[in-house]
Amino acid sequence: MLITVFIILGAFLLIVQTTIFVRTPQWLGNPDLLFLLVLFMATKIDNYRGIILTMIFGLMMDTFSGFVPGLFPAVYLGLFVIIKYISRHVIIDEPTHQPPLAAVCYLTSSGAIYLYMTVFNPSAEIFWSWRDLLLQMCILAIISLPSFHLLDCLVSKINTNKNRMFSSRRKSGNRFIS
Amino acid sequence: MKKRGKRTSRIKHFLFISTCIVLFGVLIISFMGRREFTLPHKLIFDILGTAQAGVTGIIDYGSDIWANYIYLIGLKQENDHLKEKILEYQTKTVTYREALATNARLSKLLKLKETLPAPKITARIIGHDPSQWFKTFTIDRSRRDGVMKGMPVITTEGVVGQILDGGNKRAKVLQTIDPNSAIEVRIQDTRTQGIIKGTGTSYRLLYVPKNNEVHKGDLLITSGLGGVFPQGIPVAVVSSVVSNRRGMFLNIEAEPVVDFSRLENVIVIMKSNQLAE
Repeated sequence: MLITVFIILGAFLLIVQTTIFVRTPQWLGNPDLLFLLVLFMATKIDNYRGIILTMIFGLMMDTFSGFVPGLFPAVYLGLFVIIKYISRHVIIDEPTHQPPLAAVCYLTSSGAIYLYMTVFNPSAEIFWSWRDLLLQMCILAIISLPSFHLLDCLVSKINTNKNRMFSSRRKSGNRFIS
Repeated sequence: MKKRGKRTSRIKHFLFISTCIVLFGVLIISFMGRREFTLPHKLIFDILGTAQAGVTGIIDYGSDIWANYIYLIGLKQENDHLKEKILEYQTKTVTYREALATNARLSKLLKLKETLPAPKITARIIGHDPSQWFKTFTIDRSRRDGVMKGMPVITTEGVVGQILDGGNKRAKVLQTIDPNSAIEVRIQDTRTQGIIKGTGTSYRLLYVPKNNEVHKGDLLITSGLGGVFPQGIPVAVVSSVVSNRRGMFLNIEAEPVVDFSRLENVIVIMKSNQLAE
């Protein structure tokens, strides 16, 4: 259930990014919502479902961005593992930690993309603009709080529905035990 | 009991890390050096491309309503202005027609090889690149329509890009302003040749020796030498020329003639390109 909902959500966000956001004024930026979704998964969703979703989102991003297959799945996977590792030792899923986490992770993943291209695809070049990068970091930091809150609500709603489904099934056997 | 729990957690963690490493390895090995879509990419491209086309269609429909009804204000003045423009262009057309006839006559005299223009197909842009590192977009034409890898993409203003790859219903275009794009061009007036390279937002003209005269405002057109773009299509206008004391070549910056932020429709020249294969 969670995987299906997240795939649909990811696809929706990617379509919004590629069709609606590109028509907005440049100073508003084009927030990478799919990146925020990956970040959220890394902090809140369990390992294996997280990996599956990360790979799918990486492939989606690969399809619509650039021309180097494998770039985004690799970078997103790396980011997912690093955040999972950090979250074992440091608390990073509190609301106060989310804006700096989003900004730092975006900067790190940009660096990782640059490194990947340099090592595995030296003949290709990427467009690096510090202005755009800082703008994107700021936007992601600002929208991370409401986005994470909405996603939290979505996950808890899915879990509640799931629990209700299971509990209603269990109840059917003996109605005296609640 | 606590020890066993800790051990299980460690094993789980180890398994997770190992899975990630294996996945990472598989990804790197299977995609390294490739620049083509794989089957999952094509599948995602076709499914999400359909949704993308739908959303773009709705947005365009909304914009059309806005343009058709609200922008009617000031239509009279615009109409008058356009009528004046038509008259101006009609006069110019007569002159050009005469020049064309002279050109054809002289070409015949010189026995120059006649070349037929390649067929063209129009396409609508249905989506742009979601990341900030690449400059690509998606069009609603594909192999089914005869659009193949490497075909040039233009607008009435000038050069836009080149077909990268695609699925069964859509194709992806690499814009000429992308740092991975390079075109052989010449300055229209002086016929000086060079290679224009994208910088992400504009162009840089390379390999123009210092002894050539290049001025701000010079129009750069495709030379046709690369074999990809036909000859004579506008690419950019020179915006700055700097001659450094060191080096053999001039440092030339150029602005694209096409406004990439306002692109909606493009033309694909159906010219096969062996270099792309």
